[in-house]
Amino acid sequence: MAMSTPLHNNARPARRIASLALLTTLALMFSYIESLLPAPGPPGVKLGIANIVIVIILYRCSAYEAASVNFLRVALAGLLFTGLFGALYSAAGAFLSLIGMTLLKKTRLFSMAGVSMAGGVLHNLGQLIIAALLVEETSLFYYFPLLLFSGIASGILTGIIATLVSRKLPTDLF
Amino acid sequence: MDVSILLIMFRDIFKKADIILLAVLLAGGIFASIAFARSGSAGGLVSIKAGGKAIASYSLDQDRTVIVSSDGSVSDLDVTDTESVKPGYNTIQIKDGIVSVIEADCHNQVCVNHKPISHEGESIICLPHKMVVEIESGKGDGDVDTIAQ
Repeated sequence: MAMSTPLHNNARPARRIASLALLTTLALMFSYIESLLPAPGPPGVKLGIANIVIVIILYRCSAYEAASVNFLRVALAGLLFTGLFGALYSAAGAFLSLIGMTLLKKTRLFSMAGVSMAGGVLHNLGQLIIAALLVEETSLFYYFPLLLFSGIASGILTGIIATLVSRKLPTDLF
Repeated sequence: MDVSILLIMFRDIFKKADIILLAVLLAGGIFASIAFARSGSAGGLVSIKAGGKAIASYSLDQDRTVIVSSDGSVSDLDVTDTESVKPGYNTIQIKDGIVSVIEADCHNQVCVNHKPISHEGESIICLPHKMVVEIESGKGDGDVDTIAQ
């Protein structure tokens, strides 16, 4: 994969690895906190606060790094709290959402919050597709509107937080 | 907080394309909701199985009459037009959210005499034809194994 990262990323590899490891832990902590909270609605409806970290990495570093951190988070959260199937759903959601967010970011038309909103929707869509494939039940798509709206809401919320946090973060994060 | 400050904050965070994307997504969600509501997610689905295989699934909200043959073929023929149907058939009627087997060429006629069903989980079974009509939730939890042959 072509590295489109800024120059200073490669100039200090140890620092970058340490920062990414720290951010992976932070994202995992967010997943943990969320697993402690009572489910706000039907399965699939959730806040997705770990997305704050992923969006920030996507903007500050690159899609490659954001994907690495996100898949590590999903794998670790799967082993620790959500279980194998939980990890499978999350991985599908993470995959689709990262692709979508990367493409939208590249257009330069959308803000961080807008990209995050699309990410929230695509995450839920990815989970729904995997769920429908696993149980071989297309009527599961009745959940689609609900998951769409909840994805919009949580994506905007995490996107606003990511925007505000990102402005306060030092520019030489990596 | 002043409304204008909120507006400035909003403009500070969002771009025009975000709003367009949001509008598109919301419109898609509302459209999908309406489409699903019309196809009867509230009332549930009528699932028809014959010979152990799921062969058809209909919305409970839409009135229709179908003829199911035990070989698995389904036809939307009129009730009176049973001449062309292969032997081993059941005529299933969905009307006003109630499902009943109105005609069948099975020997015991248990399915025809069965009381009409309308609630989730209820079923009418025609053992001679291995035909099962069941009402499932529109959300589809995929429990197809609840009926013993």
